[in-house]
Amino acid sequence: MTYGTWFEKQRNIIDYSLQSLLRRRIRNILIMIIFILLVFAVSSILFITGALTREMMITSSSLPDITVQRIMGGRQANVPASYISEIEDIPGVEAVETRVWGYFYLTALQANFTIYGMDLNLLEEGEYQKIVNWKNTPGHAEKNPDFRMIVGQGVSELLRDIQMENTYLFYQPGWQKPIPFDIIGTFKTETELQSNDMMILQTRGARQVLELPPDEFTDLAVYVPNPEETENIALKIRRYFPELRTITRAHIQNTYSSVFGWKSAFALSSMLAAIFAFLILIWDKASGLSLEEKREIGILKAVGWDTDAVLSVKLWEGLIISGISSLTGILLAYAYTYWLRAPGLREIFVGWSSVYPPFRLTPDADPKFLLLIITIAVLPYLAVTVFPAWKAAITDPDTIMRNI
Amino acid sequence: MAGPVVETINVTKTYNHGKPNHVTALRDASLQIDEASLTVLKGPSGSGKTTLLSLIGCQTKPTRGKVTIMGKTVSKLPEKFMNLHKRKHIGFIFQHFQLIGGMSVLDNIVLPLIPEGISPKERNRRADRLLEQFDLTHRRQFKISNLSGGEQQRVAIARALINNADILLADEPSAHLDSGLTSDLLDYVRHLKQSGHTILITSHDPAVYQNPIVDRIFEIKDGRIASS
Repeated sequence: MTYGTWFEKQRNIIDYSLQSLLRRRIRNILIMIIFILLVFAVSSILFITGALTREMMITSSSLPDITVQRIMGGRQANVPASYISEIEDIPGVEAVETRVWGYFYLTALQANFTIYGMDLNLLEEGEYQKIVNWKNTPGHAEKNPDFRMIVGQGVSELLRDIQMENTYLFYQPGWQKPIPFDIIGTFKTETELQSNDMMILQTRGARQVLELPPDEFTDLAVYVPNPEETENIALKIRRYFPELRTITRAHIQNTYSSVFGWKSAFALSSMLAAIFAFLILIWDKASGLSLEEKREIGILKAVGWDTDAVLSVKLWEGLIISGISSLTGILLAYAYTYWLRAPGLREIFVGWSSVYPPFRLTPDADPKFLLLIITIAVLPYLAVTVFPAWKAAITDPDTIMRNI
Repeated sequence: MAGPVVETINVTKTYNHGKPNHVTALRDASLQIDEASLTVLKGPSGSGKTTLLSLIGCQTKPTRGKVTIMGKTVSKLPEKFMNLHKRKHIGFIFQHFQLIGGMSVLDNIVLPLIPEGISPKERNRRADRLLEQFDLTHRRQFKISNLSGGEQQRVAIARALINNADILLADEPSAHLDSGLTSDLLDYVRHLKQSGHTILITSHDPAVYQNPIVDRIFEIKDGRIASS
């Protein structure tokens, strides 16, 4: 008798495993469908959490070290210019910048936009230049430099629908006439979560749209060169000016991270019942080897197969089912989250999106997540597949076949 | 080879050994079988024939005693080496054929060769030779469940011969056959004996043990070899 190589033996065993899976195709297809659905659901939640957290981290990295707001009667009020010099005098503060922003509701579109006022000339140079797709708007914009704006992708798409993608007319009941603004650029998708609903207006124009009095600002941005000092300076501002509220960048990042983390955990825990049901199903499927499977193992042993060859077959069967199912589930989740924008799930994570223009999630497939998903999906399945087969395979073929 | 091909010395087999429900199926069984002979283990149901055949066929290990096949004491070997020896020297035909129903005739026949790492081409070449020998070529891709009893038996014999075994063991091979098929079976057995195989059959069918091709008969009663 001639003996083949180890590789030939493995190939034969893989061939046999595939043949064995095909013989029980209906049962295996059912298991794969459930497996794929579960991996898809878990992966989608992890993908959307990762993408949102990443997007927040990207955009929040450009936030001021400390944002200072004035609270009057429990509500945010405008900040008078007199605070600027007093905060600048606090040791450790590098600069204080004023900010003008607010919200503008468009009844026609039933969407709420964030309006932000700044000197747009600053965006046209340096690193900010890279985050904007600039448009060529000759003529009007140069004549009206205070009435220019840059908009997010979501705003741009909505304005295109109403044929206002080049110039938008702001109007509120009570105004004598609308205020026209030229759109000179749109933000790129990397900052979409933050910029999607945003309209960046030249400061003077923004004041007019937001009806903000001169020498008053929406809030202040405080810059501190030493990150170790940020919390101390925020504390000093609150002590010196009890009517002021401070929000540090780290605080915003932690808040977003924990909000998305909490939502992810909530969504995953609400799936616990499904995960539990699946585990019961595979345990039942695998732990109770059918009479037919026990008999087959007995026959293989009786014709001279070693226990490790029988286990190799079961291991390959488990790997093929769980591997294909995991990969399919992950790929479907990827497509669902990043191409289809996670319909159904996105609303859970970005709850206020009913008044928020749709945004595209930037792919962020952390290899650790993928490894985690594969580990929690594949290993338990392999265990419940191989263990009962091992119990049957270590029994004398004579005993198995006499009992059947 | 010089000396007996199969030898058992004081072999005892107790199932569920050490448990309250233990059953001793075979006690102190000793026998020797010569090369290229046809031996029958005869006796009523439950007498221990199949147990002795299983011990010789390396399907189980004795509780006590020694089993030697082709000069090697297999009863003391670890499972891996015992299986290697089994695949090399022994072909087994089971009472209920023990074929895998959902698989084709070809796939059932080549089953013992899969863990050997023999290429599909070589496996098929050997199987085709046996399919032709047992007039099963036209059933090559048929599922086992679509075959008649006689055809299933021929598939079981072909599977037992696929590894060119020196020793062929058959457990009650005529138990589920009519007289015509039993006669065909004995023809195959005669042919195999003439080609140099050592054959050991358990049977309580007179058509088998009274056949002139049989060289030796061991009678087993209540788990003991009563006569030979």
